[in-house]
This record gives sequence, C-alpha cells and structure tokens, in this order.
Amino acid sequence: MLVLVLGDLHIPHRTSTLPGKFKKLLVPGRIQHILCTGNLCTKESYDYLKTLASDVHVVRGDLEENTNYPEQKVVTVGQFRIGLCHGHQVVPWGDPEALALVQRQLDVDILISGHTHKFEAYEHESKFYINPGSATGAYNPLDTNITPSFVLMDIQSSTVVTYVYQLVDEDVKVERIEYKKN
Amino acid sequence: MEDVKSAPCLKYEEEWLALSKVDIEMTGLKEKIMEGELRASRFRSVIWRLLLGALTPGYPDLWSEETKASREHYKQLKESIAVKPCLISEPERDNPLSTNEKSSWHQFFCDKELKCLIKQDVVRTFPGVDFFRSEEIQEAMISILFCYARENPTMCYRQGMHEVLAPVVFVVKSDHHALLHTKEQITLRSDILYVVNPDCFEEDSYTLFRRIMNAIEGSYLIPNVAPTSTGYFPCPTNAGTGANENQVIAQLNWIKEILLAPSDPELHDHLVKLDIPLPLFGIRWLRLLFGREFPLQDLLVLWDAIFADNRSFDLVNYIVVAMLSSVRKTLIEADYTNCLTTLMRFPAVTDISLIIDYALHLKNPTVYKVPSKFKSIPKVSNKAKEKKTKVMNGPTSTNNRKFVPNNVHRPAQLQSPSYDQDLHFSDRYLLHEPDLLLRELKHAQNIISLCSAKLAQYHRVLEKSVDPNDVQAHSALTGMQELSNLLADNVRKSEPMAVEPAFEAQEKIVSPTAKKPPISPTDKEQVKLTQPPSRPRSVEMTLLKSTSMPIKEDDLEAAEFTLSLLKLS
Repeated sequence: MLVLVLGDLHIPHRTSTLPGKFKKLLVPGRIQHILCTGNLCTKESYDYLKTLASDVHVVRGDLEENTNYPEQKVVTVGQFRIGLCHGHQVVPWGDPEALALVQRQLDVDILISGHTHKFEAYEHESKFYINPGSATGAYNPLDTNITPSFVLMDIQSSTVVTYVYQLVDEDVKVERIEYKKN
Repeated sequence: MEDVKSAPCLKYEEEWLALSKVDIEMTGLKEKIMEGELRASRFRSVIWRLLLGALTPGYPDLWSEETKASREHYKQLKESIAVKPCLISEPERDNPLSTNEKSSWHQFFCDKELKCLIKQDVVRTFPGVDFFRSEEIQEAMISILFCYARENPTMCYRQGMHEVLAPVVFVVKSDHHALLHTKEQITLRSDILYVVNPDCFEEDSYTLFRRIMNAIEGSYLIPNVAPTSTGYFPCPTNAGTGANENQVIAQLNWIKEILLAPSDPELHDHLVKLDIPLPLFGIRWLRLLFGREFPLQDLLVLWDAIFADNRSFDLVNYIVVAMLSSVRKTLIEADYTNCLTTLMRFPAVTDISLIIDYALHLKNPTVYKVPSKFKSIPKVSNKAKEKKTKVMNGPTSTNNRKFVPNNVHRPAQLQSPSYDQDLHFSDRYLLHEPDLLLRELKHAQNIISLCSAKLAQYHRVLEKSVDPNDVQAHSALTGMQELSNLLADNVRKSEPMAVEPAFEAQEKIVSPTAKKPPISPTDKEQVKLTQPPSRPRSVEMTLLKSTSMPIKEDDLEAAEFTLSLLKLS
C-alpha cells in the first residue's frame, strides 16, 4: 500500500508549480492514498492531487483558500493509525515534545505534520514522526532556501518503509527509512 | 454395513490398479475414452496427465517422481517471480516511483496490473457454476494464469485462457474430493495419496494447463510481437509485417478448404455464399477448446477424446467440421442472421458422443464408421474420402507425422451404449442405414425397368401368335401393353432426377415425426400411401409409387393374368 505524503505547496502565492522532476515521478496508478499536510492554497492543487489517487485527505493550513478542511485528521491504513495535522497550531513549531503531545491526544502510531518546510522523519518514544517538507520548495518566513521534498510510505502489515524524495541541485535524491510497529 | 461401505472404496483402488496396468500405448484406455467412459472416473486428472504426457503410462513406479518434479517446477517458478520490492534497500535505483524499467518496483506494478486483468476474467468464469464462485478456486486460478504468463512471455495472458483452465481446475478438484471421500473410510495406498494430493491442487492444475496450452498455443499466438522483459504484454514489432498470417486463421481456413469443402460441399458453398467466414465463430471455438459451446460435463467428455486422440489435438479440426455438420440442416435453410445466431450460440447437443464419433470418422474413415444417429450428414463420395485421407496431416500435426493413429476398430454396435437397444443389425450393416435403403430402391427400380422391357418383348411375341378373333386374348394383350407402358413411364419419369436427393427429400417428410429410430421401408410406404390425395404430387412420390407398384392389388392381378397368359402360350 503506497501512501503519498506532501504539503505546503503555496501555489500560486509563493511558487508557480511543482518541480518538473517531481511531476514526472508522480504518475497515476501507483499511489493508493494521499495525505496532505495543508497549505495547498487553491482548489487547483487539490484537483491535481485527485488525479494521482482517488483517496485524498487534507488538513487545514494557515493560508488555506478552502477553510472547510479539518484541523486534524486520523486515517487508518493497514495496521497503522496515522494522525495528520498542519502544525502551525503546535508551538514551538516542529518541536518533538509538542508534537508528542498531539500524538498522545490523537492516539496514533504515526504523526504527520508540516508547516516548517523542512523534511524530518524520526522515531520518538517508539512512535514515528514525519514532516514531508514543502513539495514545491516554497519559502517560509524564516528561510528562503528550501529543498523541495515529499515522502512516500509503503505500508506492509506492521512495517512502514518511508521513501524520502528531495530535489538537491536539480537531482532527485531518494532515501529509505524503515519503521516497525512494536 | 461394513461391506456396503467398503465396496465403492475397493472399487476406487481397483480403478487405480487398472490405471497403473495400462500399457505404454494406452490402447485399451483410449478405446474406453472414445466411448465416453470417463464420465464416472475418479482419476480423470491422472488419466489426463497420462494422455498429455505428464506421467509415463505403463511405469507407475515413475509417477511419484514425475509428479514431484512438476510440482517442484511450479513451486520454484512461483517463488522466482514473486517480487517483494519493499525488502530492497537501494532507494536511489529502486523506489516506488522509479521510472527505471529494470527496477523491481516497476516489475511489481506490471505484475499487479497483469494480475488485476486476470482477476477481472477469472471472477466471471462459468457464471452458472457455483464451483467457480469460491474465493479459493479463483485465487488458485489467478496464480496459475499469472505463473503461466510470466513463464511464457510471448504468450502472456490472453482472454480465453481462463476458460481453458476452468475445466482443468474442476477435474483436479473433483478427483481430490473423491480421494478425500474414500480416505475417510479406508486407508489408501501411499502412491495414490502422493499422485492425487489435495495439497498440490495448484501445482497439478498448472501441469495440466501448461500441457494443454502447449498444444493450442497456436490459437493464441499473434504474429509480430516481441516479449517484454517484465513479462508484461508483448508489444507489436514492425519487423516483417504481414509476413506471417495469424496462425488460428490459417488453421480455420485449412479446415474450411481441406476438411469441410470435400466432406460437405453444399454447406461449404452455403457459408461462402452467405459470406460467413469460419474465424467469425471458429476462433472462439478453437481458443476455448469448445468451452462455450457445450455444458461442462459434455465438454469434459469431448476433451477426453481430444486428449486421447493425439497430443497435438488434431481431432479439434475435425470436431469443428462435425459440429458444423450436426447443424447443417438448420444452417442450409437459414439466412445470414439466423446462420450466425446458430453458430454464435451453438444449439444444445443431445449427445456429445455423436460429435466425437463423427469427428473420428472424418479423421479416419477407414477405422471409424459414421455414427448411425448422425442424421444430417451428407453422403461423402468415395473420391472425396480418398482425397481426405491423403491430406490427413493438418498444419498442426506437421511435427507429429510419426504419430501412428491408434487404430481401434469399433463395430457399429459399440458406438454408444445409450441407443443400442433400438437398432437392428444384419451383416454388420445397420438395417435402416440410408446407404442400404438407397441401394434397395435402386435395385427395385432396375427390376421395374427390366419387367417393363420384358413385358413389351413378350407382348410383341404373343401379338403375332394369338388368334385375331379371340377378344379375351386381345384384351389381355392390351392390358399387358398398358402395364408395360405404365412401368416404363414411371421409370422414365424418375430417371432424370438423381436418386439421392429424392431419398433425402423423403427423409424430410419422415423427420417431423422424428427422434424415433428410422422406420422400416414398408412403414415408410404406408406413410406415403396414407398421405392425403390433395397433397401436390411431388417428385419423390413418383419414385415411391414405382417401388410400391408391385404390391398394389390391381397391378398384382394384372401381373398374374399376364403370367397365366404367358404360361398358356
């Protein structure tokens, strides 16, 4: 089961489109679910995600055009409960302890958050945390030099293999991180 | 109670022992098969394995080894093509979104798509049969078809293969059920338990399926395709376009020109006239091995015969002709639409053994007789038959020229046990065989013309010698002449028309009462004579009248009178 995790696109306010190399990789038919951390901004971006997979889950970011998205969401894929939250509500932004609070609140195995525009994936107290970064590489108020990135999770019963796609110097770099549920 | 229970179980082992005693040519077994005696067999899957060469007949000691080898083959194949891309830790080259065609993820997605496609077809196999609704069976069928597709990238999977597999799966499973049922009651020999092992359902089905596909792969092959490295659908190549014709179409054309045309020119011409090419329905017939044309149980009997006849399935070609001939009456009377409907939805056949028998006859007319019940067969001239025997080896049998057909001589009475009782035989001819009746009629006609000529001759002789004043003698002479003319007239009238069509036309009149065994010649005459007089005088009436003439009372008197006159003189 392949789950695409991405967010913070900021189209068209901060960038015009997804990097071409990413678009080339993202073909319909391979991905079953999409989890989006928010800040799609426009409906067009949402429609694009819909072309990649029919099952798209979005939470609300701070700059959303559509304000109807929920603040938090829990999705179950295979044996995993996955929590989804944009992360601007969680202060300090991207802080492991603050995120662990949300994880306990939602009672999830994997917590996905965004907003920092920096890729992050780590295990904390035997729970898994993912921040897919910004798929377009859009700037954030604190940093203008952002590496575009997104994450793909391959969920097999009690194992998640996470593939991280980063665009470094016009080349797509892929890393692999494995997480086993106890 | 004990005895009653163990009796069928003993038979089960006996059947096995009989099977292991079969000699290497399987002569006796094949003979039985052609008579459709596998219907009740509990080892049909084993017999099929013997016939298709997966087991060596006559060497039961080797069977365990052979079975083991083929099972291992399948297990290894299945193992080797199962990709688990999540275990590969080379993310740069091998990741789920990789566009690299050699990556295991790419292979994984190709496989997935192929499986999806197979599944789509498998879930719709034989919608009327509950057996194929079970998840377990469907899963097994999908993996068998998938393994076949990956093992044979040129063939890959094509729609229709699932319907070839379905009867195989059914037969293997039935044998397993029989085994389990018997095992509950007695302890079975270990070799049976090994060769018919319910745990190796998928493996054994695959072995049979692969061998059947080997024989009929010509019907599925498409020219100019190159297999892809991932085992996904072969892509068309441009090399030598049009050079090699589609094999299945070539085969059907061969059937039409070489088999159908000489054996039934009328039907052949009719199909040509209506512009109905054989591939229109024949491709399906050949690809599914007639799976859609007959109910499952009949289909199995038909397959028994196909497998038993020859490993390259030559009989299939003749079955096509036999099937066409079995509905020839409907076809010849039908227009384009009706003709197509009949062929597309083949009418239910009452007795599959008729088709098998006739196909065997077509293939080997010297050994097999025309099945007596096969009503609508046209008469085949001897010349055509000779021609046919010469071209016996069809395109599919080219690599099998060494194969000597198993010359089983079957007297007519053994053709099918079901209709033994209502037939009578004399000198090994069926009493009411059309050929025989025809000859009788010809003979009668000869006698009539001879009588007429002789009467005229005697009349001339008597005319000279009789006293001109004897009125009685003169009236007798006149009667004699009239009789002679009458007979001659009748003969002359019937002469221009061929005897054969007249006979067939006569058959048509009898057929509405049909299904009964053909009635005896005298019965027929009675039928004729009781026809209402208003009925237009048709051609065949003339012929019949002439044959029935001698038994008409008036004529008999006249004849007697003439004879007495002759004696007097």
